Amino acid sequence: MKPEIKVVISLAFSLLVFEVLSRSGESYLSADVRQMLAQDEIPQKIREVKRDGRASILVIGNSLARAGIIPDEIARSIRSPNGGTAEVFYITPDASGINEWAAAYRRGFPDAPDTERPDLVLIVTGPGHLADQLVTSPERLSAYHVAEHDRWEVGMNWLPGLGERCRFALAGASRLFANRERVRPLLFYRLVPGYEVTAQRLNQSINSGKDLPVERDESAERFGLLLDSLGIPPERVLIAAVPLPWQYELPEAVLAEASARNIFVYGEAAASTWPSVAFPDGYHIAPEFGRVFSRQLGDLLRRRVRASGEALGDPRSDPFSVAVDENEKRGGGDLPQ
Amino acid sequence: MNDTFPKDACPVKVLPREFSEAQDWTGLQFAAADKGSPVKILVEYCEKHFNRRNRKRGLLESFPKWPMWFNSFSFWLFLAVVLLVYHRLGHRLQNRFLLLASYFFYGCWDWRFLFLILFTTTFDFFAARCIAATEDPAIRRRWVTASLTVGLGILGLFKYFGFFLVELNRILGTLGLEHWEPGFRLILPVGISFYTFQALSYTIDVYRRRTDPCRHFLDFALYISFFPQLVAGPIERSHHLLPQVENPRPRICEERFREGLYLVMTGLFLKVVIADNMAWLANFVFGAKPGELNGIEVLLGIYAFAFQIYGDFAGYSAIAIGVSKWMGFDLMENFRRPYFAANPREFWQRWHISLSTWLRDYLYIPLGGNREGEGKTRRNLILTMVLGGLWHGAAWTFVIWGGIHGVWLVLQRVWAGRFGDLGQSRSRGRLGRILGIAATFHLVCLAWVFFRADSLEHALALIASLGTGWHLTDFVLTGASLMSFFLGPLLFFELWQERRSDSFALVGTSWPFRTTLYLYVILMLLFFASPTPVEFIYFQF
Repeated sequence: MKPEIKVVISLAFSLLVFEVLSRSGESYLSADVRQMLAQDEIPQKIREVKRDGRASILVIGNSLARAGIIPDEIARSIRSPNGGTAEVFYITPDASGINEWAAAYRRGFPDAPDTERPDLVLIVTGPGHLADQLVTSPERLSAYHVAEHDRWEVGMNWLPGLGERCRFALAGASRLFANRERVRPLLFYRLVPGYEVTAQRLNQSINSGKDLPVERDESAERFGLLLDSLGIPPERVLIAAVPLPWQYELPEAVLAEASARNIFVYGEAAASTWPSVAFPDGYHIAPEFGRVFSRQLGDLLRRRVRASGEALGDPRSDPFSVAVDENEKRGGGDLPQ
Repeated sequence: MNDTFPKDACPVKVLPREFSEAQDWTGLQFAAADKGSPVKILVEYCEKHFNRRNRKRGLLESFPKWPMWFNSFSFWLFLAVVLLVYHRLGHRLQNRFLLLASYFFYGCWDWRFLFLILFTTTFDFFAARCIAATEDPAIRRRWVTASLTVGLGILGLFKYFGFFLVELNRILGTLGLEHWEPGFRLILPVGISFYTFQALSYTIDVYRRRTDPCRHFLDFALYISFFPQLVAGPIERSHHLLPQVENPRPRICEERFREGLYLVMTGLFLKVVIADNMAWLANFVFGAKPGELNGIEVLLGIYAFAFQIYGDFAGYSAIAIGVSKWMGFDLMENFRRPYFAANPREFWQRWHISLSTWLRDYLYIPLGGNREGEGKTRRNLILTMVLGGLWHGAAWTFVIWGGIHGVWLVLQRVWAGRFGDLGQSRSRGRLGRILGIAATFHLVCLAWVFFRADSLEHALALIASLGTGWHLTDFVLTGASLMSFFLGPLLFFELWQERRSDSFALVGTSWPFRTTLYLYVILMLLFFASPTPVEFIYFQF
């Protein structure tokens, strides 16, 4: 065999070994990866919960949703007919948006019958997360969120250029490639002195030089795709705008998509003024204030589930019953000023 | 995007920080026409026929632009297709196919500039034929002058028009006269400086009877537009590249594949790992206000830029030479470990070799070289380097950068006349060479400050801040650590090459050694590519 062929074969073999290592050790890379890997177990867990006769609530969002939705506050709002508490599941990868959410839901619940889908879906969003946007990480989308049956559609229609499509395709085949950008921070944040401070300083300086994004016509086609893929009645879906340090409204296109499907959008928390102490890192809501927000949603859910049960009329088709507890007595009027 | 000329800066000086704007290749950009201007009719015509259509159909905005950076997937896919087809064709068909591929490659940047390259190609092809067709010196001179005038005229129009306009307006302003705004702005076609110089070298060589005129137009068109070296060199000579185009080339063999693989690997490493990571540090220092930084931070930024531009350009050249090897072409070496040069003259024998030899053969020697006494030699050196600086871009900072290098070369000549060549005298031994390398590197770095700075004032402010507040900061600690991490292995490898005086030393090592090194390169490319990729700097020149 010629030497250079040996070089190429050895390189290919070495990369294969690294690929095996990266697949077996990817959960050690970051909590975000562990979370995304756990997403694949959610459908099975929902099936088990429903087999036990309990209700399941699926929260879709990102780290804002994780901070804002306190599971016991939401679960306490709804009780199953057998008296068991509802189970709350999360599809909330870091720094994700509608692309990841739509793809992940379609991957988790492709053709599941209604009985295997979550009983209630709570989509928790910031101002721009539901509007159509560019895919920021084709690698993450490909490796952890997109289902095989959606791969072609996503690759061809969601990604703007050939480069992104190549990255998407490669990440689908290789976890080594998909997670390649996680190694640098993992090492540098631990080993390079002052890296965190410097990286923030440098990135801030780079971003400050960029032009402000140009205002454009917003669309929400992928949000529509997500809603169409949910496969549960619209009364069992709630879209909630998460509190942020500033007031905002959801984009018109998003509201129109939701309205066209009779899905309720709760935007009061986003339209309210929250004290600055509610956001210790300037972005994510603190747990005690998240509890307040969750309670508001819980109250709302209770009212909507009650209405839904009445509307459906047949208690057998409705796994929920309304939990009347201390929570309801407290009401939802404790929004901080 | 600006619609008008910036009044205080040269519009075509483009450096990495401004790349995002510069990459928006919309060709002519129109502003409100100066009613009294002599180009009023042209401007009105253009506004009528371009802008209106543009508004109606989004024509200018919708021009396809898919630049194929050497570090992009699109380029490697394109290359894979080209190589697959290329090696199945005979020589004549290979040339036609390569020409087609090269025009496609160039058209992906901006297809409108294909007309410009086609015009240059056609004109120089026929000019060379006319030169060769006669023995009459006057006619020969007339045609070579025409070729020079057209080539340099196009280059001057696209590259220096804005610069001279700014300077003209500065003079008009000083005299209290009204500014002259032509109402349009020209965008620099990518790679124009490279292919113009390559075309000029052909007609000059035919005039000097160093090269026979090319018989086939398509061969000559391929010589001008051969895609691996089209947009950023190496600037090939007709007597080197043209015979390779005209004659059947060797089929790919194990040796060629090995050399190509080595060059591509090192090229990608230099660009993706070295240049882009150094750009992260350098862009911060050159983007900040000098008063915000202390002396060590500025020094670190200058070092980072020195290696950014080296990694960027040497990386591009290595990839260009490597992929050419896979097609049977041998392009000239463009960089030979320049930061191991022990004096300024040696630096220019190692840095951008294709340009420095071009300037030597077509500018320095015709000016008289070193044949007409010491005074004129010094003048010629400075003039050559100043024009070399101006070749890089239309801005005073580039002129000063060239001038500084001219001064270094003159000073070195003076030094060498009295004490012998810096760093090369055997009597001074290894220590002398190390001191020479260190001194040359810092002289080069000083010149890089002017090359990279936004203006002369900015460069001087940065140099002044070198003397302030030498204390450790987080940026210094991080920057020094990152530079050690990224540059340490590179410098160690180059030192190993340097001791063997062989750029291809690795190719001769055992295959397990090469595999280990390539695996290191691949893992570095995978895991340590910069968080903010930067475009190739020299594509703008």
